[in-house]
Amino acid sequence: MTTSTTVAPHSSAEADRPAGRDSPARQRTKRIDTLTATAFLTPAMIGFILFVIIPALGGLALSFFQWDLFSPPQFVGLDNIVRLFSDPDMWHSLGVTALFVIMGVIPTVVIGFLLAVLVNTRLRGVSVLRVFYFAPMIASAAVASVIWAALYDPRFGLVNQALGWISIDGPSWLSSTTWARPALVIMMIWGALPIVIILYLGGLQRVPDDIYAAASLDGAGGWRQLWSMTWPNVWPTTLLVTVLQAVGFVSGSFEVSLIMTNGGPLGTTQSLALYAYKVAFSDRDIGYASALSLFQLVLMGAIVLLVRALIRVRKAYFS
Amino acid sequence: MTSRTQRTRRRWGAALAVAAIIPLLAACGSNAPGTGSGAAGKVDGSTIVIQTVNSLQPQFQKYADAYMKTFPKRKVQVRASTDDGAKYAQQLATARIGGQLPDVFFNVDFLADTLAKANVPLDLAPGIKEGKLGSLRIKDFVAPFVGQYRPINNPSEVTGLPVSADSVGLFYNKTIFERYGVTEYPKASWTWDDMLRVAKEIQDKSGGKVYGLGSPLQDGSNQLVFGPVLRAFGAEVYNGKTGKSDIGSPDAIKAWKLLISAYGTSSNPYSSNPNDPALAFSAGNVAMGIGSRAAIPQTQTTLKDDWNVQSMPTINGKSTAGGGSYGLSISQTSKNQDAAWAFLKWFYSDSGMAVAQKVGGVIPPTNEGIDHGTWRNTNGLPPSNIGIFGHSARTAVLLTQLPGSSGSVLTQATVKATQEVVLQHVSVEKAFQEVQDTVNAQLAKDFKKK
Repeated sequence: MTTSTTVAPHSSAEADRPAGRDSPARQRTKRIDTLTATAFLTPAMIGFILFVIIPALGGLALSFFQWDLFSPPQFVGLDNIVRLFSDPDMWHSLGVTALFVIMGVIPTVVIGFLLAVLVNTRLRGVSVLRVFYFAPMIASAAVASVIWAALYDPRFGLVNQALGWISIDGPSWLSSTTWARPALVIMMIWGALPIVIILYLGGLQRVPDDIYAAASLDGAGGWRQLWSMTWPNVWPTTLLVTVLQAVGFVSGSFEVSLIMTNGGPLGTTQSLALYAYKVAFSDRDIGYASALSLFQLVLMGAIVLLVRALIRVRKAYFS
Repeated sequence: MTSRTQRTRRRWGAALAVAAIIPLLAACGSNAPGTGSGAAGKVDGSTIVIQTVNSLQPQFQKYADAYMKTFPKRKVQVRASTDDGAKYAQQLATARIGGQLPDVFFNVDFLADTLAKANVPLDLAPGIKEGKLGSLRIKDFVAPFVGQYRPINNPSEVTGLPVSADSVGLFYNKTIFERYGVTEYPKASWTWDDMLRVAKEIQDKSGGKVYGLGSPLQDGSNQLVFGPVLRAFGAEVYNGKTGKSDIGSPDAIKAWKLLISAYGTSSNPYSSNPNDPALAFSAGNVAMGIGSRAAIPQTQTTLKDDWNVQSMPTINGKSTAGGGSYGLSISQTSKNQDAAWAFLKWFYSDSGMAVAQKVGGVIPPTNEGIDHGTWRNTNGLPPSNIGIFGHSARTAVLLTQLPGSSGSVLTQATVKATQEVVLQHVSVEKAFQEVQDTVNAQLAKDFKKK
């Protein structure tokens, strides 16, 4: 006797339905799901459209005008865009922004990773550290900038006092063309660490424990495991953190340099965002400021696209 | 529906959105500068809105309360906004676009011309002539202070009235002087050399624990100080007749060298933060500070040391006291212009000015108020020599109004030049010649736009 697998017969309704179409019940379920999703997404989408999309489009449109806020806007076509590329102050500010990114992103990623590994271990007293690494998230960037400006005060600030304990004569941080930028970068790294640590903690949870057990059996020490196993396994998190911090250092440098140094001394901390702000509100040239902001948006878009391309290359050649 | 179709539709949608905004903005062009579309409105039963800045909100609320107590059928709402001049101008512009301008608003000398060109404030001259301020006439106000509110292109108009005839004096901390054994207190006969010499003495004797003087130039932008000093040396920030600045001339260079010489020797080293609270006179870390009369109320509250004020030192026998004012304007689009006038009439009357002097330490901007006002009475609090501000109000060198964007260009250029000299040891001549060239180039552009 042979056995055979029989298929339950379809109902006549199912038999009559064209291939690829869902049953009415399934369609109704999908409709309900779609409506539910739309209902939950709508409030956020309204806010996103009102406060992000429309202003961005408005900014794009304004870049074709000359406007000082008081007189009527005058259409100038591509004049602002052309001016942008021949403006030495724009190139200088772009260079400063690039330096902020270069000086800030790599240390943020490396220090954030190491701190996350430390917090992830079961060492005595590490729970105390968990409280401190969240501290920068409590204060807004503006408040933190004011506090750090006081810390950097050459005479009364804690930083130079601490340096004095080890016989180092600290510089006039925020008034020095050499030290103003590093001073701001240190503060921005401090502010960025909490979110980096949290992201890395999430990434570290996904690394399986058994690979460490196997590595220990093979005689791999702590640093070897960190470099050869942990670091490669959190590569997706590293990529995410790098992109987020690159965007963060491009845009985040605005508040910090406005409050702490006002772009000085001698423009050494004048990022592109701050330059656009000054053009808008000190020079009252809204059209050109909009063009500058648009350029910054394009730059950030380019960073994101570059990273996506890198991911595709990695997947294509290494997976 | 294919994904290509979806992408195409999205692209067209975005393009349409941008295209829709452009004609909207162009339509703003049809919203020509305001041409007095306000209305008289009623007085009793009215509610007017007064807009001021954050730091003056408590005072203005008290003025409003006193007014409403006198006239119970009239309501006044006080709104406060940013102290930052650039942001304040932007908020007024936004309010104007949205038709939300207040009835009465805080105006200030360096913004007055810009706002007047944009037809934001009402020309008050005809109303004052008709008697809307009672018996007060324009000639009763101290002329230079009213002059700050005369548009450069239409000097016969008056678009604001000064609230206080503010000028600058030399604040000094007697406790610090005594602590370091310096008994040569500031005198009315002092010159700038005397001030810098004594400041250096205190700074040296303290071993740098205190600064002898808060840096006069601050970050390089303090026109309230450098303007009068330049004039004392025979130079001008802006010469209205020639339409140019000679801020880099040989006479001006002498002024800049004097001002910059203070950094690190008689005053604190250069700081790019002009609002560093540690360097404020009221913080008690500086022996002397150049400050405005308007800083007195806060200093009385904050500084517990024994302190006083003195006239600004002279250069070549000439006063170096700067002056300025903030003022009140009525917006052209106000629907309650009569009620707004009624408030101003009360504010500038004896009873209104009595409240302003008591609450805000205001020096009335009228000749009568300067000579006989109650602002001289400090109720036993320092400074005992407050009377110097009455004299300096009349001799003050007021902030120069520059057309268009030249004012902000000047500020940025002087900050940059100061930093170049102090931090990079560029010669004063080279740095400030560049300032002069930059400002004159911008002035030429601004005149061309007119």
